[in-house]
Amino acid sequence: MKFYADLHIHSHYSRATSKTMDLENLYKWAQIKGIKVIGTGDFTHPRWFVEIMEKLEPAEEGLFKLKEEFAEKMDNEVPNSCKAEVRFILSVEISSIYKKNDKTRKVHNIIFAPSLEVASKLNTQLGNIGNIKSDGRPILGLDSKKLLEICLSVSDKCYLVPAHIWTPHFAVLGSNSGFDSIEECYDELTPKIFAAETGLSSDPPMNWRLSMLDNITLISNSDAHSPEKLAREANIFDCELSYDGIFEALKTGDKRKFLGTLEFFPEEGKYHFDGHRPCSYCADPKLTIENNYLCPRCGKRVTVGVMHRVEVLADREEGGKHARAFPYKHLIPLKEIIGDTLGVGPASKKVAAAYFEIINTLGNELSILLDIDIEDIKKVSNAKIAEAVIRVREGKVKLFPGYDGEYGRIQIFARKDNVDVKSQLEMF
Amino acid sequence: MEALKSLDLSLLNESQREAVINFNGPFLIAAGPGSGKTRVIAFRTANMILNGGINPEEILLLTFSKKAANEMKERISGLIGERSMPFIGTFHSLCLKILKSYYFKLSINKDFKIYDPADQISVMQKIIHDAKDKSLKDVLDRISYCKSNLITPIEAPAELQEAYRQYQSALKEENALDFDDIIFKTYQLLNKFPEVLEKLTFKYLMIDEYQDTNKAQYEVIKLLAKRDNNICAIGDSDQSIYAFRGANIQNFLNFGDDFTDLKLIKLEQNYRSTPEIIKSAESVIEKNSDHMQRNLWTNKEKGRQVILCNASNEKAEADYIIKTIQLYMGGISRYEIEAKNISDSPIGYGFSDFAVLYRTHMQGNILEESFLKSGIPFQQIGAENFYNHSEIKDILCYLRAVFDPFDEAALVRIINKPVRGIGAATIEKIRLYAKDFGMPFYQACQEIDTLPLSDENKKSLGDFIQLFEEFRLTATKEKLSNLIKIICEKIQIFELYKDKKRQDNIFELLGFSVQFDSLPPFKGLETFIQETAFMQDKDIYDENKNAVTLLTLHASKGLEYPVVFIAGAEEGLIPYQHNDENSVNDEEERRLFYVGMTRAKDELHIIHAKQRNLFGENIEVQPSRFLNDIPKEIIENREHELKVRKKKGRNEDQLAMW
Repeated sequence: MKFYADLHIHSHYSRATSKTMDLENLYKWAQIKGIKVIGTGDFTHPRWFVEIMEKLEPAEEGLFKLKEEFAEKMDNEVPNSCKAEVRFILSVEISSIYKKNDKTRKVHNIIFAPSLEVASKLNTQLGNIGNIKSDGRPILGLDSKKLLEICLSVSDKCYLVPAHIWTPHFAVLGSNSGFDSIEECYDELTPKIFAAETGLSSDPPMNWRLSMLDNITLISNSDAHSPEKLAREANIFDCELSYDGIFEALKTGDKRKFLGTLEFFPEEGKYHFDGHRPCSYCADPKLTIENNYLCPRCGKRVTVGVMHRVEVLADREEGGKHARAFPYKHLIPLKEIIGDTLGVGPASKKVAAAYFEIINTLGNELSILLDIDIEDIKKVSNAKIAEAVIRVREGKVKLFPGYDGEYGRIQIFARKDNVDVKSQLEMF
Repeated sequence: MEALKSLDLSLLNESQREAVINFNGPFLIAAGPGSGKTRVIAFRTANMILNGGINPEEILLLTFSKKAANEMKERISGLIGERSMPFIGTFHSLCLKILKSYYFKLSINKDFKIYDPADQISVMQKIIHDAKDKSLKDVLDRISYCKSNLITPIEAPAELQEAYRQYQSALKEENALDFDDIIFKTYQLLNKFPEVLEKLTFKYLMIDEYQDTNKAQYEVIKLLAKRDNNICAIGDSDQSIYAFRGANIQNFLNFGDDFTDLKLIKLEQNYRSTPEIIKSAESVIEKNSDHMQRNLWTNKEKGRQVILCNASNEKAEADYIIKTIQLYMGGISRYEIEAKNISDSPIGYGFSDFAVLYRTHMQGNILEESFLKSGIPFQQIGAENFYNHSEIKDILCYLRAVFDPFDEAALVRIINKPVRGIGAATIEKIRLYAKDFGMPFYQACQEIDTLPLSDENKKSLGDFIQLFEEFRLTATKEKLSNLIKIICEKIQIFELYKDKKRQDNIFELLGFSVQFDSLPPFKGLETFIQETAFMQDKDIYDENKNAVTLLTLHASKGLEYPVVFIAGAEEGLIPYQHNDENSVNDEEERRLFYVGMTRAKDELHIIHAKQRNLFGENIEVQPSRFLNDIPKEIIENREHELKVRKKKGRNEDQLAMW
């Protein structure tokens, strides 16, 4: 069965996360976005765990669905065009901060559990190591490798996937507190790492430049802290809808079962280029090297971004491809496309109205961004929005790279194209 | 035969070497903090065996705790290789060994039992019927004090004599000794029967942490040392902090009175702390009248000044500590890093490099809350075990009773929780009935018609039994987590316990129970009960855990950390003032503060607040008098206030921790 999966999200128990990230809203928004399998996130948090116990029930093996009595309440908020089955998979992100080989390391890992029993056992062990009750993404003074060992000891179906592997500050290959290779982090357990999350700041071709990632299936997830952000990155599966089905596809890298990923434009990621945010200084890797890694405006060290870091670790030229190179497509969330077209922010009411006009008629967001015929979009919405969708499909956009925690920007239309925006507005 | 292992004495400084190579006669080794005392003891012992021609069984090494004894054993076996080990243990383990060999001389039975504090209270309860736990403990403390000072019942204060006498009789009847008896009886044995002393093989005695010995222990040592006069007391009178347990600092200071030709060796080189930390600590302790003159010094490079932070209140105090740790760690979440652009710490600290010291457990609770919110991994010494929390005990007792209704202790605990009109008096009636008819408590409960209870009470009891039997039935049909959920719902436990922390604990217990769901219903319940019983006894502090340590000043003794925070450096806390007393044991409290200060290796942060919430009120507090003794030039002064972030809307955090 073909479906989209977003395996890394955060519940309302995580810091700086919307209060609406509860199971009911996830159920609703997964349908609006077009996601069939969504991670629960945060299963180490005692209250979220009990919420999961209360509101979800087992569906296919290793997957869960929202109980009827809770689903009913949301069903009238889901447009008929989007209605579909939604499945949950138990996941959590652990932040590990520890010393290894004389350096402070900060690495985030995603853990998946095949059942509540396994998750409960894992929680007991992690609870003995640190505090898992305050934040849905707990911070533990636990070596990533030990974390992996604990997962393996609890169940051989308890999987660990390094998260957003390129983020400078909290990733296995991060420039500031990561390692120079996967193996340095997980030592002899490295063969257990069969998948890794590319993160918003990188896309597959950047990762293909490292032969150390050749046997690893690269996945992409939203890391959403609010429903709007769901599926800004996602995975495409065509396999049995079950925990084992999904992980078998990832482990083997079977191209018939794992069809690839949907990616944020890496330039939009907030660590794409190098720079120093306090000084609004952005630099590509070459310029950074010229300036000796210092910010020319204040003299402090710049934060090295992902492009640079990839360059440093790469052992292959650009354009290299290898066995586990999967197809990918760049996405921009529909609200952002609409917003850019109308010249307003994506959170504005106008955008919301236009958005739901399209969704209600044509179906979920991913289908609109990827599959639906342009003519159909034109019938429901205005020509400009339809054109914007095409431009994005074809990658014809202008990119302003992000750096040092500052998100990048995309421009679909150059300023002069927007001259007739006002007249279109009258249609709303 | 293995070649003689040789000791590398070049690792020692001059004073350490002097202590290690001399072992005939009486010695007093005054070891300042961080001066390598443990190494000296280990080397001295090894040297006696390897180069001194002394048999291990002739050596006795007494340590302060079992943990210290184990560490010492490891160290020494590393030095002496395959040879047999000398006796290394605590006073209690030594005296126990002696008593087990010579019990008959004192008319103690061969298989005497040892009573722990819980047992002691049980005994006392039978003597003083209608007293609460706290007053029982007070009496026991006073008796303990007597025994530590070798005071028999006849010699005890008049008002205590009867209770003391009866308590000892009860112990004798039950063929038991308490911890203090072990020492006291050993003293009596050795004092009365010199032939026993002759039989003991110990020719060379070493006592660590000598400053914390009490009179009883001291008198035992004197007897043991009488024959050969080879005794070495090691310690630091400035770190004597157990007066409340009967320790007598005079033992240390007046050691020379009992041993002529005493040689005094001072270990004055500190290997642990920076010059600034040492200077600040020494300046504070020098003011004590019973401070032994010494010159503590270090080779270590100059470090940072001692930081004295004036926080607006206890919340700001916690905030300062947490922010500093986050800063030194280079930020622990992207929020700090992006907001302030903290670059990663070049020092590379780990969580376990930080310690937060406080005077009272009350302060510890408040700090614990702040640390929980911050997400920083931490562990607290002396923290309450999860399974001892009231709300957890209640649920566990329901489960225990459901599993086995004849578990009387469990049943009695929950029979009136929530309040059902089955109070203490009713329970007592049921108990008597059960005793009279020789049946278990629960069986008596079921004989409602014949119980001597009022109609109202009978109804309450009937309702309870109905509910309880429902639970029992449910237990045979539902998986464990469902059973717990049902019980929690039916007893409305979230009404009983409204505090968020307690509710968090209940959620945690529920989540924990899920792993037993795959077992058949009753079996899951049984396994769960066994597992949780086991966890109640587990020791919590793990020194290998990568987490910030929160602990009292007392608990910090013997430990060291690169960065130490001492919180609440205010009058009333440091030095501590008990509510009901006007006096403050200034000298002992000063030593306690000194111990705290000397735990720090690289940095010492001392925080005092302007206001503190005490007994529900915000009271203005004064900085500790001890702070005046720290030379101004070593201090870096700071202020810290809590910044409250205005709520921003959807994505706001809780009260900003940053």
